[in-house]
Amino acid sequence: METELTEDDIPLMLAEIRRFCQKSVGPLVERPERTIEAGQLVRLTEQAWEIGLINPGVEPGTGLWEDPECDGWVRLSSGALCGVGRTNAGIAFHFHQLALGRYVSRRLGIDGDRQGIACVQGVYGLARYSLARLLKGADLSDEDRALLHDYFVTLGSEAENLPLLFQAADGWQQLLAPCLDEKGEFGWAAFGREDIEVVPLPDSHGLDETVTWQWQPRGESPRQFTAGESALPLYAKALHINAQALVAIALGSLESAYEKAAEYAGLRKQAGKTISRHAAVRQMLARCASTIRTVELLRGQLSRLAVTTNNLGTVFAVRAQAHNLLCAAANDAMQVLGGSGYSRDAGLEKIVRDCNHLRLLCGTPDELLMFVSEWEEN
Amino acid sequence: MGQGSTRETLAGHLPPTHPLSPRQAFRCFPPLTSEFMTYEPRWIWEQDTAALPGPLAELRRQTRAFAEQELRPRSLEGDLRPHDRDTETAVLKRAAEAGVLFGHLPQPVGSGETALMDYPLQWAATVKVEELCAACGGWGLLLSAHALGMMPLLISGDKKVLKRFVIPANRRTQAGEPYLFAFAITEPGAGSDVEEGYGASLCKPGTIAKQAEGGWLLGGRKLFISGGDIADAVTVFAALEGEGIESWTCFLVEKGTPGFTCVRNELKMGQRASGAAELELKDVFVPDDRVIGGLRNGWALNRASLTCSRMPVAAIALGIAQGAMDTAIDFVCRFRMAGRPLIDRQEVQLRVADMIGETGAMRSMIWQRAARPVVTQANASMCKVRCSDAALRVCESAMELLGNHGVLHRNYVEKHFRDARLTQIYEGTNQINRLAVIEDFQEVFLEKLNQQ
Repeated sequence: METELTEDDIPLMLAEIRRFCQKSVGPLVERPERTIEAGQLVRLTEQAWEIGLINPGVEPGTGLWEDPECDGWVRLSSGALCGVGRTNAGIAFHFHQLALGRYVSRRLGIDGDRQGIACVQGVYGLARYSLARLLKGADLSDEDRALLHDYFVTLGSEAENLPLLFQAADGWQQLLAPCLDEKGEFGWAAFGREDIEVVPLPDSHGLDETVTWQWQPRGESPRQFTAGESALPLYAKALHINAQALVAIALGSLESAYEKAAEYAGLRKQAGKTISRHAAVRQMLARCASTIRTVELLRGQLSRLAVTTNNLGTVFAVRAQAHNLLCAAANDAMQVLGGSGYSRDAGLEKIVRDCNHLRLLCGTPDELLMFVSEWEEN
Repeated sequence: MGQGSTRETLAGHLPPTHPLSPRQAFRCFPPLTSEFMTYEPRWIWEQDTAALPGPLAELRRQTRAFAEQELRPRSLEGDLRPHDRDTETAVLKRAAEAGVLFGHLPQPVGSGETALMDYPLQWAATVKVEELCAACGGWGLLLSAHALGMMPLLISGDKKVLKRFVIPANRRTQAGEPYLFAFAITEPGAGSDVEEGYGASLCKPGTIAKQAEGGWLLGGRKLFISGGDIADAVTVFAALEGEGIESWTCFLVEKGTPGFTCVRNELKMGQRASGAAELELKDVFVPDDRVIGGLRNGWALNRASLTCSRMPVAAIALGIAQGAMDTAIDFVCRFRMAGRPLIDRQEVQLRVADMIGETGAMRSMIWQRAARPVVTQANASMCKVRCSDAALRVCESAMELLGNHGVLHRNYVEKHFRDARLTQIYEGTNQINRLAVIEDFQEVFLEKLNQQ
């Protein structure tokens, strides 16, 4: 039995999340050049549990991606991530990762007491056209099988030439990874942290509040391997949810960038007038505003789509365009500040990095378009 | 062809040995035709170098050798731990010994070949800077910003200034003790105002020179001064007391002068190995003989120096883009999917071709404009805008090719992006530079207007 979410609940919960961002998240990330400390992030996560932004338990409750197959939860989650992303993209991404991990854990019937990360990202790209073919149930060629073998972790086989990566704040205890077994059958593997070789790779491009982890199985069997009919649709749903989240967080970040740039433009004077009166600056601010309005409409429409395998192509198609727009607009916002925008203290460069980082995870625009080209083919 | 075997072709292409390959087919041409229609199996870097005049080609080769040996290995370290004095000292000493700091200037002013005198200074500067920044944008800036600092001294056209300040600095550097200059114009809240005329005509200068016995007392603050934290001398621009920016004058201020301090270095997104200093001047005494180019000529020196430095900024952007492209090409040749390297995939080849085309177009534009004996503001600004915008596109393509692996610091391309982003900002934002293009052609537009 899932927790019911009524239409009236959504604005109330979003308002509560806004207050949480203002009171609890905002003060911790006031100085963009300083990264939140691990202990502070843990306490913030606990507060997020308390207000129902994340559901930490195994029992139904409220939180991001609580029951995304039911109407309303995606709208709530997407709106909430956009709101938290407006305050800090890395923290929004962290909350999303916790919630996505819990969603996958519950669907797989895995112990929810251990904080799990669902590593939906394959080794590289989206296996060209092959992941789309697998997910839409097309016949697979030998080339498809070979690409999928290199895209997924294949249990019992040696690591390939590219390392496996995922992005998460520390504190996770288990990893839920889409895998192929020795026979090539798709399923979800659950690894305890101690069951895998894992190396933190600090100083990644953006999302400073999290870390890029390199990992590989130690060669032993996972704690649990769940295959069968529901495994692949669950992967499609996880990809769908993840794509929605990345767009929502990036949009929130851009809203913040726009606000900072517009504020600066209204104060800074050049040639005797505020720069907000100069056409060059107005153009850049207008491109930001136009992108925000466009992507907000897209995000709103996406969040009304049912989380099903069938809708994955639509979500990926939107994401392919949205991230390019969002990154370009974030660059515009930073440019408004001139030299100050390049300083880490101003926070704009961080938003540019965060938007770039989100663009590259789980399928870059090029890779998403390849997926879409296959998806759209009858 | 399996892994480990010798490959004869990329997927989707005929092998060079195939009779239908132009490499083979063109052999039918007579010698006269082969003079202009032949196949160059060499990489674009070698082809472009061969197309340069000898002294410039040599400068390019020498700079690359230095940059690959000294800068690239320190690139990630300089990004993560900038302003480490020991590393800076080591890099500068090696650069001094290798003749990099004054290498674009012919002897005796610089350490470059005398034959460089036959070519515009701009061309040599852009050739050098591209190679430094292809290895590392941060270290490249550290070694290049010095040329901008020195620019007002050269542009002053005053032989006494050259003999008194530039030639000794070069000698000291050649002796292994690097001497660096920096250029200080930007003031708090007035970045763009000092980079174009219209804004300047309405702004109030913040750094003021008061007359004193035998010289001037400078007071004020300068921001975002590249290399200002380590420079031995800084060309500081200040207005004369009681006058506006039309009185701007260039003063040469030496490190260690009482009242002259580096307050802080900015925390930057990229190009971190080079400091962007905030300089404070509190009654800094500058003797009359360190006024460069004459009183009230500072505005002209400033504008001319910026014009001369915008093409090198375009070359910085090009170098960073080249570095990003080289990194991405290494990646797509090294990593495999389904047993085939990424470069075998047509979508990857399309991206790489775009990057080669984009960097080639940048270099063509820079070299073609820099080869002209007279540098104009419009040419310099056009190059700066086009190349810095294009550089960002190339870096984005490199990140796209590395995909989720592009976020890793150790894979370089994310640093290339951060480094490239600054080239759209410094030496006047790209917006200011676009207006500089229009300013240069003002008479043309006015003539059309007046004909109506």
